[in-house]
Amino acid sequence: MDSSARNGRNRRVVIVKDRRSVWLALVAAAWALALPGCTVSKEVPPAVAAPPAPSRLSIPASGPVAVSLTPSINRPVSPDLLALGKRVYEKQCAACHGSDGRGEGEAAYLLYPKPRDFTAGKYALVSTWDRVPTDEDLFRTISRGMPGSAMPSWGHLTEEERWGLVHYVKSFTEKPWTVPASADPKSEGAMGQGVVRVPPEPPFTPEARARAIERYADACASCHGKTGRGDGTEVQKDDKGYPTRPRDLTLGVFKGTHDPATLYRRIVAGMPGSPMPMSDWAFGEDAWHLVHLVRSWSSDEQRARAEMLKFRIVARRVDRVPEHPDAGAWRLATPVNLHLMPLWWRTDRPEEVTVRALHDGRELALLLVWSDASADHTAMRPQDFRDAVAVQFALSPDPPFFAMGAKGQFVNIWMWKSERQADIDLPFHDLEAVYPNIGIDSYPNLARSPMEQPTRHALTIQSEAAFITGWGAGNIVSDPVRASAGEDLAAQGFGTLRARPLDDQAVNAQGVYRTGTYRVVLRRALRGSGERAVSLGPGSMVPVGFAVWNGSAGDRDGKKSVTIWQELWIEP
Amino acid sequence: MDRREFLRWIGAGAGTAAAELGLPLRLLAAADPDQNPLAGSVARDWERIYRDQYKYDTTFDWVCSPNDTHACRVRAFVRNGIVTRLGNTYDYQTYADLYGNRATANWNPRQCAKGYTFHRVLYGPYRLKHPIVRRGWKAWADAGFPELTPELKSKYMFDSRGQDEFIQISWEDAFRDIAKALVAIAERYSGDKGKERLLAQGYQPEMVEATGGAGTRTIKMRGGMGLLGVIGKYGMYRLNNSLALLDAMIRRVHPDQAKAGRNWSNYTWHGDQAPGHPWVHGLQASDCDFNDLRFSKLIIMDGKNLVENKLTDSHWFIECMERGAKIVVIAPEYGPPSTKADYWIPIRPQTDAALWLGVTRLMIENKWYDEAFVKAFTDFPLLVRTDTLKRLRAHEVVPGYRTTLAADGPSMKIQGLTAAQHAKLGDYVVWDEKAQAMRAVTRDDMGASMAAKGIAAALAGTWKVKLVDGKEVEVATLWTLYQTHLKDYDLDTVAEITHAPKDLIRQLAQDIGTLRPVGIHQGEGINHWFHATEMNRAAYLPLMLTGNIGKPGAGCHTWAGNYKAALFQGSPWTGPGFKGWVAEDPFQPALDPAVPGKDVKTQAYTKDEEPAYWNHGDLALILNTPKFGRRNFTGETHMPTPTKAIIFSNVNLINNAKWAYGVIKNVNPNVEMIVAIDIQMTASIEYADLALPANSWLEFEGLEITASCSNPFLQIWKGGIPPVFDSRDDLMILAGIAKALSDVTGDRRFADYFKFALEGKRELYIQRLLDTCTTTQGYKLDDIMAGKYGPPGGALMLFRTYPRIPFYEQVHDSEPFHTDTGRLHAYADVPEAIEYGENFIVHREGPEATPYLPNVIVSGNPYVRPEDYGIPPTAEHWDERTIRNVKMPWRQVKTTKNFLWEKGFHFYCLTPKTRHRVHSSWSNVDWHMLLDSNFGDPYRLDKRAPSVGEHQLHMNPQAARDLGINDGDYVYVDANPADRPYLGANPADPFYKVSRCMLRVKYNHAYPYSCVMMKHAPFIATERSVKAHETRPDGRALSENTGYQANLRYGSQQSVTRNWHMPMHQTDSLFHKAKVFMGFIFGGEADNHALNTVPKETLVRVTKAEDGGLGGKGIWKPATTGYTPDNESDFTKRYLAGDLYTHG
Repeated sequence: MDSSARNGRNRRVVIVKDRRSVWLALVAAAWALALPGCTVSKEVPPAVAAPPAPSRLSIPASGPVAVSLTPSINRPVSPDLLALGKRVYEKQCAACHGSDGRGEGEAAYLLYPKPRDFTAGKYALVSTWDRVPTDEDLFRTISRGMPGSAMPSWGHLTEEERWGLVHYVKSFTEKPWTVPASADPKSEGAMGQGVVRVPPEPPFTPEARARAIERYADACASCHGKTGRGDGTEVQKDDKGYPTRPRDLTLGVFKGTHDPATLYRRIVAGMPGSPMPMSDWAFGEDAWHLVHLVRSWSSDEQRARAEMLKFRIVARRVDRVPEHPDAGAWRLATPVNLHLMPLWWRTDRPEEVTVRALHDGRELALLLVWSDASADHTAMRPQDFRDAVAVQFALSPDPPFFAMGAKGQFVNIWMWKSERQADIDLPFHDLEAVYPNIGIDSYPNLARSPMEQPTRHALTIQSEAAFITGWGAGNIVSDPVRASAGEDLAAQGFGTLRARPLDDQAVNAQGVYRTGTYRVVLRRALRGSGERAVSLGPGSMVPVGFAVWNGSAGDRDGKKSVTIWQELWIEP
Repeated sequence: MDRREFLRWIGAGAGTAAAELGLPLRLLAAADPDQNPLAGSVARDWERIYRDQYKYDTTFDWVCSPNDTHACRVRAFVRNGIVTRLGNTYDYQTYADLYGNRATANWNPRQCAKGYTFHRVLYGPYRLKHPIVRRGWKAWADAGFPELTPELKSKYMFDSRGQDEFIQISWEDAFRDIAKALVAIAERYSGDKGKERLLAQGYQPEMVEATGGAGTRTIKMRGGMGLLGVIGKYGMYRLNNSLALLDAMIRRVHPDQAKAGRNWSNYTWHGDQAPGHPWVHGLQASDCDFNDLRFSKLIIMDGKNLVENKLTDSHWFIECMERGAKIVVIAPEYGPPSTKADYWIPIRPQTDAALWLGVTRLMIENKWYDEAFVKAFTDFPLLVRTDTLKRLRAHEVVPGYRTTLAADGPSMKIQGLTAAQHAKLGDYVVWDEKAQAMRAVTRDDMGASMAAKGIAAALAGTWKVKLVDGKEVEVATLWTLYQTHLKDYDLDTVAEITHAPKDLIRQLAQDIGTLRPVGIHQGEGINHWFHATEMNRAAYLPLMLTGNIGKPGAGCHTWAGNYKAALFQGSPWTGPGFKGWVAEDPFQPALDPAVPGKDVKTQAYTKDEEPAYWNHGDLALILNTPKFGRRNFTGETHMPTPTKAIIFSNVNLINNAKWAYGVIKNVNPNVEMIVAIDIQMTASIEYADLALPANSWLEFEGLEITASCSNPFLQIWKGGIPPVFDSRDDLMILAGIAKALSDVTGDRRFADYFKFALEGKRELYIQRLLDTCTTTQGYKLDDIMAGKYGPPGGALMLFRTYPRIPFYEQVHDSEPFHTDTGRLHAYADVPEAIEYGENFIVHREGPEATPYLPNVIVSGNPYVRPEDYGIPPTAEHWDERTIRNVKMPWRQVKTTKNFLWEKGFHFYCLTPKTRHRVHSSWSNVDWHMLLDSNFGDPYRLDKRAPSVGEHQLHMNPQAARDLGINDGDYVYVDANPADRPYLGANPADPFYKVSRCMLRVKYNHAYPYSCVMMKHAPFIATERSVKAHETRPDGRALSENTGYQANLRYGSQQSVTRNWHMPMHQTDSLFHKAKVFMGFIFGGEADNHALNTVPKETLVRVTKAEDGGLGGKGIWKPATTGYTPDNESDFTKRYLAGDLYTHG
């Protein structure tokens, strides 16, 4: 027997036991504090005493953080502003758009649609007859982001920072432009110039609707489809040659803002760089009718959900944090619906993840709830991917780039994976689960006698870890005996994700899937242990981001739906 | 380009390529951007897991000894007592002999993927874990072995073995039951009563007579491929020899009348022998050490695949590409060796004899021959009588002829020719050009000896001769007669017969005529045909013309099977050799350890027999002919006896029997005991009565010994781990049966016969063997095991030359070839050959695999005068087709028809050896199954697959399409329904479904339109495996109760084969060398001159059975991707055309 292998294994087993026993001790202690002498089953959370008095501290309420998408003042270009813009750009934008502005940043391969190439000076969201954006157009796009793409909103940046970005981005162009004074077309068939003037809004009468439908059928349906579902027959490519799809107008996802006036301009001006053409013919009332028609196909709620917003999540203090998603204590937490965007855009995306947070002074518990039509709890076949959810914590109040941090600026990530949960809940999932007809002779098992060599089994938890490379090497992803469905990870930018050391793995997770909904609890002691573990304290705020993976949609790794940075407040 | 330039160039190139392709190289960047992966400080602790995985406690070397001729020594790495992996020893340069000669390091490495995966066999799920007995048989044994009436056969399930159940039995009970059964069977069939019983059971009287009244003669034992373990495997024949004691006891006869059991053959039964070899040079087979191939300047593979079938040693011939040699492949298909060849001659299956005759004619016409060699070493100058077609004998023309053959000449002194044999043969006659007269020549008068005698033999000429009896006859040199004979084989005709391109035939003749040395390699591709004899003989003609014999890099060799017991050659000056082990006299065994091997008394009470008679319905070739009435074509020296008990080891006897389903259905119900000794569960065991688990090569508890026909290594070894299961060494199993015979009979001589084995002193037997063989005399076992001659257990065989070159002595020392004339034979004047029309080397169409009249002789030569026995050309019976000898010139032959071809059986079914098996071994190793076909899938997504792999039929895509068969479809492969899958087959019989071959088709352009190919010897479908396939939720063909894993859902390669009783294989008159001692014999000897089974002799029909798509719907998915043969997408076509390559 190879002693190091055996010792290694034993050591790990001991640690697992230790960790469990410590955990049980903590649970017992917590219960003892809450309900002395109580022997209630641990499955049923103890009744929670009346919540503590509402905080008198300056903890804001859960909900969206207000931002303004329009500038209070137009700031002309200046060296200082450009310098500020460059700094912000390098931190927040270069990863996707590239330091040279060509849209070929390191993350670009993960994104669809592709990031804008600023050197071409072509922008989709313009309000002018001249197919160029005004500074306000750019400011608005930066502030709001572009739903339907991986461009998040940057409204939480200061107005000055956003103006800096406007001018810095413009500086990349190889063809500088100016926006002439606004003028309507001089005659039918001719174009106007400058910002498209929006004529007074006519009422959307049945006749107007009929007219809109007629114009839509003539001009729009070939791409956007007869009923606006984006299912027209034309195969489309953008100016860069990437395949593109016309918008499904029934989902409420608008790249630019959808207020009627802006929408009016977009219909008339088109979207440069995309197959969406200018429609000068609609200038006048027709464009208004189309605005009304298109907006009638989606609801305000849908449109709101597509906006990337920053929310505050307040972790309320309770006597004891719940372990299970079913625990009644979750009623005490205010649900916050966070908006998600897929980095590789698709229409059947998870739109929201609902977050509830509680803490008990020792532990933080997050309940994450999101919809998913299928429970994909195995990733054993090469073509299969699992469902998962993760939350990332910035390690400083000023968070790094939202895509998993940046070089030298780590984020701590807690991740839950559905197949890991299934392995814990069910007998260990082996290949037989997905390949019931599988045939394998045997793999030698040095832990058993020659007479007891397993036959027709894949490598399983009965096998010897040394011969299951990931497991034997201490990779938590490969560890089939791990007690938690949660993983404690760290990253300094995409592509740098690593598990934190085995001994520091402290994230407990418990997830259930029922009726098309995942509910996952992620728990950890407030105080982090080891390097790159976030430390949380009552009364503090930490920037958090969330990601959701839908396995059946092929999500894995960087193919996921994410939020922008949110704020998690820990009640004192 | 200097180095710096080069580096710059590759640097630029790599950079450009990456940039051009737009590869996301950042994906390859280190996870931690601060870490330079090349820096020494980078954490590499993750590497420990791999070091840990490769760690081991100890190693030991063992010999991988399957029937593949290599016998590679393999290193096992052991950890916690378990063999975790296997590897090369890389020590062949250390192998030495008594004289200090050493092998070259170029032998390294030696070992193929089979050796590397043996631990998966060792610990795999298919090992035979303890002795088992069939429930019905055990009940019969317990009932006292009552005579098997039809009712009792059914009661004890002798007629439905495949549906019975196995139960565990102790070793001692198994031995006792086997011993009791042997006694009971021997008693039942002994004496006149025994004969009566056998006749009443319907056996041919000739076969019954061949028992000589000894019931023991109905007991058949087969030490499967015995050379692979001379002690444990060949030891089976020793056990069999001891049955003489039983016969002496039962029939109360004197030892000199005692008869033991029959020894079943291996080499010939596997169809591995080149049956023409004894006809040409008198030896069992010609084969050289593989390192001799590097001397060749022209290597011709004729129906031989040295790439796939000589895996570990194929490099020797491949290296010749660099050594300036030309490589030529003659085969129907463009196979792996063709990829190495300078040219590939496509050929219609089994027309190779015609090709060689055509080549020979071109060589003679162009004078591409060495006249001196032809005169000195071949039979071309010998005179042949044109009336009797026999060679003219000296005593026929010389009044009062007295031979000059000297008692101290090589024939008698070295080769062991007896005076009686010589008297029977006589001497021969040439025309002496100097003397202008007939001159007698003895078999010693060849080579330099003939010249020394002043004989100047004429090559050409015809003479009228007055015989001593007064009769005047015409005689001619064989050379002259061949000029007539070869008229039938002009280039146009040969091209038409063979479908080979004329320019390549001409090129081949010229290359053989002008390049030296030339080696021709034939193998199973040729030997598996009914008329292999002629194809083997014909391949020798060009070499006889050019003197490409007995020299480095020259010769015509056959490569199939490690058959060569002759490696342990006895001689008058060394002692009995191999015979001292397998045929020590059980009535006077040498029980004193001090008795030297040379003094061991030998007496073979056994007799060789071809199991082919058993798998031909347990029948000899005896027919009622229209012309002569009942006629026996099975020579007396070949005549089998009825089969009542079979014991075999190390061979998958029933699985590999041609016509296996016929054997199971029609023959084995009459066999009263079948005992299999094996390391794992096989189909043979599924149809056996008892199975005894043997130790594998890694588990041997005592020494075993082997050697090979293709390398010079003597290998002795034992295992290095205790047996994993309740298994025993082969030798100890045999000794266990012997001891039980003593217990049952009260005669201790059975046990004494294995005394040293039972006492744990088998080394004594091995030393006696070493002491008494010409090839090992002088070696001490202890020295070999101490590593005196290489690795412990290894040494070089003591051959005359290194590499070993067949016929070196003949050519260099003028020692006669082992034929009656002492010369290489282009002619056979034995009466059978003349009667069958094969006195000259001729091309014959096969008795089945031909579009033309079955078995027709293509000749217009007036000196070919075959007998057709009055059998009409319309006769369809398989045995009638084999004996009907009709001669026609090609222009007439090509107008004839084969009734089977007319009925839609127009695919030749080629069955070569696989890369992933040796015979049927490794058939169930998952790793090999995954690689063995295009349908390997560990996940078994299509649960129709019998295991993780699936047997497949390679087929020309157009031929398949014409039959509506898509790539990947399941098809039925059927042969003549009159006799296959088994006689009396009825589609309503559930066994018909079990036995009808069904497998997947793979499109393969390498195969011509009329050839399909399935690799041979997969694990056949059995009744239990079919039941499992149809009832198990996962669909695996994995038998309940036995755990047997079949390779096919239904049937097997054996569904379309049958045994063919080739008459030329069954003569009593062929004079040739005995296998294992320096002496000659006439007629039959197993593995030497005996029925060579011919599995390729079949025509098949292919019909679609099921769609290939997942679950039986649609087309097999890979065939729809555009990346498979004959379904190429435009992109693939561009790739194949080289369009995707651009200069960059």
